Amino acid sequence: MIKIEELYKSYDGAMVLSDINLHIPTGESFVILGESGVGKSVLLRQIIGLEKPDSGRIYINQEEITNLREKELRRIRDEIGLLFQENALFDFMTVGENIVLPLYEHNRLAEADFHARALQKMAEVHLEAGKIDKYPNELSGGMKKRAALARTLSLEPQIILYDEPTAGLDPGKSNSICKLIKSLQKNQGTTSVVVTHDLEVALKIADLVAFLYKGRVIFQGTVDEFRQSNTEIIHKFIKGEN
Amino acid sequence: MFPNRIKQLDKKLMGFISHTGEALILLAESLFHIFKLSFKKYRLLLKIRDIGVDSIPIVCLISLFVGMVLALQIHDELGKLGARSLVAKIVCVSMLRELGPIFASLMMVGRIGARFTAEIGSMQVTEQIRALRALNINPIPFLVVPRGLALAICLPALVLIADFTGILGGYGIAVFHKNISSSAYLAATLDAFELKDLFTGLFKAGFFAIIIAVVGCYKGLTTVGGTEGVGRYTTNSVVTASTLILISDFFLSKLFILVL
Repeated sequence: MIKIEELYKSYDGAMVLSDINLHIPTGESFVILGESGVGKSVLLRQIIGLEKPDSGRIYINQEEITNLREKELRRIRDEIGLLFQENALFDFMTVGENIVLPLYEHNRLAEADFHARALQKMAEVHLEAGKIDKYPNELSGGMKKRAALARTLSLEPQIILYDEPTAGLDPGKSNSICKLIKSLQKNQGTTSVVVTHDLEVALKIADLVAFLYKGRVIFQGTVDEFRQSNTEIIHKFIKGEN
Repeated sequence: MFPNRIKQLDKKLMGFISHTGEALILLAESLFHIFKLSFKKYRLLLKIRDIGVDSIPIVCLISLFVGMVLALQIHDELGKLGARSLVAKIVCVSMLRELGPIFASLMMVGRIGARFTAEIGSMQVTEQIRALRALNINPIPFLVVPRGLALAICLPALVLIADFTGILGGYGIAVFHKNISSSAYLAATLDAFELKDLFTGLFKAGFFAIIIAVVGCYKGLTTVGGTEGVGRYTTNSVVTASTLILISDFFLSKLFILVL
């Protein structure tokens, strides 16, 4: 469960997130929807503790993380994975090395098992085993996304944050990534938090939706409630008039 | 207009103080991880190969020519004074105390310091550093410590090689070009050789290695502005490290003259 209360965040005096209140239940697929530049990615960085909010509180499984020190945050981050918008794969490592790096660094797996674990995670995200020795620049956009997701899954997090998971992908690949996110949530029981500006993607993935507008959450509810919302801004967004 | 200039100066001064403070914190944190041994040893060995072993040919070449130019330049001048016998002594002392450490270090600023900034800076602008933190991997023992420690181990060793090849270069010019007797030149070199000169040079090398590593890694970790930013920060890293090396060399030399 993730709970956010009265969260504010600004950069150089410019307010990016204002009075954010969210409740993300365990095991649900929660989509934060909004136009580009409204602070969606910033919100994800607050949740995983990569940045500190100006004020407000964030709870992960009942524990407040807002004032935790970096060392204490590492324990929380064990339970959270983040898929970056641009994948952020380590370009000097192969796909296999990228996937097992967190396990190697935390001494969680014998070296002899690295290869098998990398293949297992690649299979979970439907990435061909033959790509294990490829470098990220040798992969297509969709494959990079899958490789990055396999790396995110390597520590077996309970909560997965997806930052614009289909950005830059063609409709076919975008659709398959949506299915993958949904199946991971169902099969592994993870909580998914997806930020996107793509309404179609949101509707495919979401159990619950929040709509972010100019740094504020102006809607929170089910997909059906979102569709039927009378709020003019949401109405325009659904019709693609913004 | 005048108050604006004061404001700008104030901003620059505050920026300088804050960058210096952050760089020193990076150094302290790196030392903490070194003493805690919280880094992967194999990564250190890879960096020693990249930084040290691969730099040997270029350091040898540069220092050989430095020794040759030095002998060439001072031979004729000393000859006018009837002091040709001092060529070996001056080459030996200059290489050990100053030219070996300075030239090897400046070479490493361009070859390694710039590389540190470009590598880490590229990772910074492509969110790879953020990804490390999200995966619970501390970038300091992962990126900074193996690079810094490898440089601190390799630079003194490279300076030792530079000292030797520089003296060899001087010997070559003196004996084969200026017809000074080989045995006389070697005897004068051995006579001039003092361990304290060698160790002051090696101490300087260790100090310069810290400057190169901290400046290179700090500039990389603070890079902003995309690929253009990587270029700008890399240039800035080379200029800053070179300047700091030359300034600190003066003060270290002064200190050694006073103490030894």
